[in-house]
Amino acid sequence: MLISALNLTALEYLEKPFDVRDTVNIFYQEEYSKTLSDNALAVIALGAIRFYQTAISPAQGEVCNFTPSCSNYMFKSIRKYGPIGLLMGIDRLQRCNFSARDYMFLYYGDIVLTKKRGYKIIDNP
Amino acid sequence: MKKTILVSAFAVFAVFFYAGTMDFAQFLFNEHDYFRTVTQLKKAYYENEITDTLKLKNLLGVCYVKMGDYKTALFYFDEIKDESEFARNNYFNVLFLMENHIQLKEIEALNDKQENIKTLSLLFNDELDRKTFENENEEISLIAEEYFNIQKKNPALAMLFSAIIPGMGRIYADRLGDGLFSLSTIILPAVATYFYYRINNDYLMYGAAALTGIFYLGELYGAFNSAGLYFTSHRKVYYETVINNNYSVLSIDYSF
Repeated sequence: MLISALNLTALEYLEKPFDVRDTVNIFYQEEYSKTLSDNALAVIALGAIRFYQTAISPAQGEVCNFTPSCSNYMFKSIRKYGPIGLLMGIDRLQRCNFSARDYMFLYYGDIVLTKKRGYKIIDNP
Repeated sequence: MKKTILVSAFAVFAVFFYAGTMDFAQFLFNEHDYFRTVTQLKKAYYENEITDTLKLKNLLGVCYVKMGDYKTALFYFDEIKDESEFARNNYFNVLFLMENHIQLKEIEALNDKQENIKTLSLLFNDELDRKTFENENEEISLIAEEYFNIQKKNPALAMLFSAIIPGMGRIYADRLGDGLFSLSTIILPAVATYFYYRINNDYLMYGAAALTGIFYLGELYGAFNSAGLYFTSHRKVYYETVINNNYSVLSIDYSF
């Protein structure tokens, strides 16, 4: 029940790029195993992320340097890699700082232009 | 009457200076309009203006290389690679551009240029050392020297640095900003843990301690990852520099 409720809310609150025609293919056609999310610990972590996304994040707006945003990245990586995914998400939080754009072309592949916050760095888990 | 004469004269001149489809294709090629060049080349083939399919396929392949569509270019060069030397050179070149080092390793080189491309492929696949380039030609040895100047960072060492002082591993992997920021993400909850310990607030102390631990583990993972990425990302940048630097080893052979 909890998982299906989370999945339903996920669709509504996922970060949507402004130009759906061009960028929807990049981000939203990923298919990966959802079996890892059956783990109780993963469900707690995912629930916490979803709570942050629905209750806390809207207050500060869209501030992440990357796309998908750090919380979406962590959500995806936990579902994909389990506990290692949590570390990947923490690493991403630590990389999302004032110097992220300095390493844009050296360490990250592509950028995308968004409506609210100019360009963002594409970094998928 | 005057108008008729003028139009007729223009028509005569037009026929006199008539440029064929191939000439137009060459003009477009020189103007870097490769997409339209492909159309004109195909048109020339259907108008029987060009009958040499070897030349046609090579030119089509070259146009696709220039447009960055290496897969289609490889399709054309693959068909003619056994028929001529320059087509085979181009085939090798496209495989190198596609970073298809495995296929390049298997295919036999028939001349010096192909051998050089194979050597470069092995170099970028990290299979050669400095000594093998002592007797190579000047251009290859120059590329190799620059390549060997790219530093390699040890991921285990980066992790060790981060374990001792959080953030140090990332700084070692040449990411000063990330290092300083991740240091702050560990210091702040650590200070909070000490603060809650001093005021005997156990719940918040354990919460802050857990946060510190998670961020510390994330830092270790990040340092390991950053050091591993250092060499591959610098190598990728250098690879693009080599491709865009117009070295004669990687020149594409064609003639209209």
